[in-house]
Amino acid sequence: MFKKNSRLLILLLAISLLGCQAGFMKPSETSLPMSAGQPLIRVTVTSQGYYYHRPWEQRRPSTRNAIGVIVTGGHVLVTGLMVANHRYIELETLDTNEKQQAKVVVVDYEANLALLKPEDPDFLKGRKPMELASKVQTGDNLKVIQVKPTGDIVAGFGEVTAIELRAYAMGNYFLAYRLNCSLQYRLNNQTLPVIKRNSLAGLLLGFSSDKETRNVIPLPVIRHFLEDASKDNYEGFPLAGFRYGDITDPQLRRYIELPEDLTGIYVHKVIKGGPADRAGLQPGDVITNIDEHDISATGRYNHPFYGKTSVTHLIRTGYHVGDQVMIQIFRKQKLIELPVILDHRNPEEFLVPPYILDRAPDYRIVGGLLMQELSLDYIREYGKNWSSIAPVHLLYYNENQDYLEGHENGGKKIVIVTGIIPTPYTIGLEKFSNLVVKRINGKQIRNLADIAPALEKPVNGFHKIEVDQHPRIIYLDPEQIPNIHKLIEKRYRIPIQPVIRSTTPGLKTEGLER
Amino acid sequence: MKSKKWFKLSILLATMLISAVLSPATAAEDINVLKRSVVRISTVSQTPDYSVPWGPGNDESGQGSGFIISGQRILTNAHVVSNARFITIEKEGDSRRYEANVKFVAHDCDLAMLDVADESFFEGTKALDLDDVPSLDSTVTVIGYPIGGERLSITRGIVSRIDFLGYMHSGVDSHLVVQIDAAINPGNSGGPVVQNAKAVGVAFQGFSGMVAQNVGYMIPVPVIQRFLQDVKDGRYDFYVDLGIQFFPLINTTQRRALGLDRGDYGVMVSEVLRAGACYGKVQVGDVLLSIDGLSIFSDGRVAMDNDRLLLNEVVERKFKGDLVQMTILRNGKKMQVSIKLNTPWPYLMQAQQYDVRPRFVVLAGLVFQPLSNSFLASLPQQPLTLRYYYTMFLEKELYADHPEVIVISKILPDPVNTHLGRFLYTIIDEVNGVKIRTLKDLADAFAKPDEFFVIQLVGDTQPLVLEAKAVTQAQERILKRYGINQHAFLTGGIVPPNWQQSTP
Repeated sequence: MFKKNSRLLILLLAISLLGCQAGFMKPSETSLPMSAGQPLIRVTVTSQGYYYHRPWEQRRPSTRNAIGVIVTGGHVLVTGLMVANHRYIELETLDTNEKQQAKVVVVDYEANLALLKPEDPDFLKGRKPMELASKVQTGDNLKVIQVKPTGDIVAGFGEVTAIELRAYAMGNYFLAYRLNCSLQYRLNNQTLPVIKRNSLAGLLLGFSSDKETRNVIPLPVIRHFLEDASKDNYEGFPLAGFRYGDITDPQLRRYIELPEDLTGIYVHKVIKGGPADRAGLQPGDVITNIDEHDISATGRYNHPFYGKTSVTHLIRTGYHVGDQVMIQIFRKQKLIELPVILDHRNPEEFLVPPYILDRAPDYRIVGGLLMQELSLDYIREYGKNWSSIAPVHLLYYNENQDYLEGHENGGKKIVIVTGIIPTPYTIGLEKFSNLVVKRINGKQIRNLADIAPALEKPVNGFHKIEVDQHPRIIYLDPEQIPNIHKLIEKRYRIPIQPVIRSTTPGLKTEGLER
Repeated sequence: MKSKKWFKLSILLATMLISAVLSPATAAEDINVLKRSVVRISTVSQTPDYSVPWGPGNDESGQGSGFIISGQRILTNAHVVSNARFITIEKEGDSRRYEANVKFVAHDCDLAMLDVADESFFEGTKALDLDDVPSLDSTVTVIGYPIGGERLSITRGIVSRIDFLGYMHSGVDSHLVVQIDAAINPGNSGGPVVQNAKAVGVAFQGFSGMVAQNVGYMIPVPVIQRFLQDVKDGRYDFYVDLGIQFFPLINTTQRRALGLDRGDYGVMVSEVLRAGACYGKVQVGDVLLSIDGLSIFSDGRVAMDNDRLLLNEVVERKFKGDLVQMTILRNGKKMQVSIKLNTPWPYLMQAQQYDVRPRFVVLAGLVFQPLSNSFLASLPQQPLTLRYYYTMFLEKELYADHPEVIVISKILPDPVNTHLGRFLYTIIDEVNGVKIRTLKDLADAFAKPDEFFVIQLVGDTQPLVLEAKAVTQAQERILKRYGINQHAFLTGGIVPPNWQQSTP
């Protein structure tokens, strides 16, 4: 718990990239004329993340700005990470400087998109929503909108140099436009709209300050998000649940006796219980065709106007959750068709959740032992170089969680003693941290919820906590626990029962309780 | 640049100390007698480059100290003569250089014994007798050939601390050490630490002046005596170990739960190594109460040599096959166990290895090497899976499945492997359905004729497929192109032939 290393959330990093120096206008800049009813609006969000090594504590609040786009339905579109862990959201019109509190309608942290709406539905009345552009191709010239603190609009222009798969937040891959464009201001803006002839072409995903290349969330991803958001229940971008490698090596092709005229990708992992697993896909299968699209040896198909495009885009953005795709596989010299019903994989469904947002980290304190479920957010507490300095067993769990499925911890979560809060009762134990809890009183511990029932029956008058590391066994006296908890609450001001209860996980956060 | 600065700093330090010590007039030792026991050791060594495992290695020259003991034997540190190809020694008052050879070397306690073919070397020399562990606060003199000049150097200090600490040379062993505040500098290594004209230790390691001041360490006599005793039968057998870890029982709840009274006794066993001596006799959760009749305090120490030393020290003075008796408490019942001591081999994977050639297999331009300390250190980056297998080798008993963790360490580009780049730094699990546990298993699997070699790797990757015909055609071409004189070197290795018996 008392680790010195503090860390920056990914989203905090993003701000520092975008807005470390708030620039101010030079008189010679070309301002665009501002029309009344402009479909753009300033969004200010104050957020507060959590410390994962002190899960009872929130970070200091931080505020950032964005330029949102008014879309149909009286909603405002911004990037998703903009509203992560938000406490207060405010909209401000650029022309009349009216302000209004807003709330999140839908957020998708994987595709990095969010829809907001003002508390008063009339706030945006009379403002025309911005249409989506019909399509964007390589070579198109796009306009990136910046808004000066005065409300004046400045545009940067750039050419789409490539349309390709990029890493979004949280380790997800989607298509992005690569835009070669210089921006005139270093304004503290998280979201910037990208326009093609007065229609929305995308949202700026972020940029590196030393390069003139920006990545833009493209139309297909935005369109997919808006389509899903208009449904009652937002389900997110679908997955098929397998991992693949290319099949360019002729030795491998000959070994699996793949006919000369067939190409495809080699499935080397099928995620247990996922859509592909349910459909019967197996490691070693070669996927040759997906819904009439032939798949190349490097995993690409021919997109009507983007050209060679990754199958990841086809599956994630070409379909919705619940859609069926026909996957043709080559298995034992035969071509077989497998209907796969696509589904979304929530972060909670991972052994080590890739992100936890909009809720406080859950924890238990038992006799001074602080217990949490392992998450990537926790590992990131080790600072900027977490991937090399965090404990190797935690990194290994995170990196190999699919591989470890069903192996060690039964595939639910990994509960760790992240630290020990020193009291006279824990003398000799203080220095332990990151112990993987295997059993309490003989009962297997697969998530935090398993702890309370396991504590009901002490063994020979003591709680026996078995961990996977030295010292292997820690004993607690059930009768002392109330005293220890009182001491911790008094000396350290650490609430034993979390004050902030976690809300039920899900992407739809309307009516988010805090 | 950094090391230069460090050297400069240490020179300054040494000068200051010498002047401070010499000002009080009385010198306790007769230097004119002592200097007849000290030798300067010069070496040319070859350190294997694990990234070019077939090559002879980088040659370096080194300097150290040593001293003569009875029987025309010369004692020095293992690290002075590690990987040496040519050793010469010199003595005071003789300008000739004599060739010396390593007779015995113990890398686990950083000691070596040299002999000199030309017996005339010993004319005019005087063998030093060994004394015992010096008492705290008593004065000791360090003699040797450290940096800062060409001639014999003497520094003096007191015994600051007696402790059980890590020996840097192997990186995994801990033994008794004595800390002194006499300046010990590079080149002092192997030289004697003297009290009352007798050797009380071998100067061997210290801290850089940037970390701590006047902290130098010597190997004390019990460790030296054990080494001399061990090699009496003509070979060195390594230290023995219990193969357990224990947890100090100072927490009162922990004590009560284990059925112990208040008081200062007993430690809990927290780890029993499968390949270790205690396996099957001692369990995690057992309380160790006594060892060879000595009561164990709750911090794991025992009363020995008028001091409180870690219980390991009892085992430290024993030899392979010796017995140790322990009283343990299991589920509230006292039991006697008798442990036959051995050297647990899996530790050696994490130990720095010396005087061994890197082992490897080359096939189709893929270089296969077992994971080891030196191998991992040679990599430009340390992938997580390799770090995990290295760090958790003992704790997670990874050696039970893979006593040698065979890694694809390099891909020498050739048409036969041009699509295989993704397999760099992966770990071999099986070849054609046969589990690969040692490098020899791999060489055997590759020697078996088949149409394909299908290599399964640890984790979620696709198999690596090689066509045997293409491999055969490529082999000579690749060896010739990259100047590799042999396709494999399999001799040696840390895994004992009977490892399966020790890992049920």
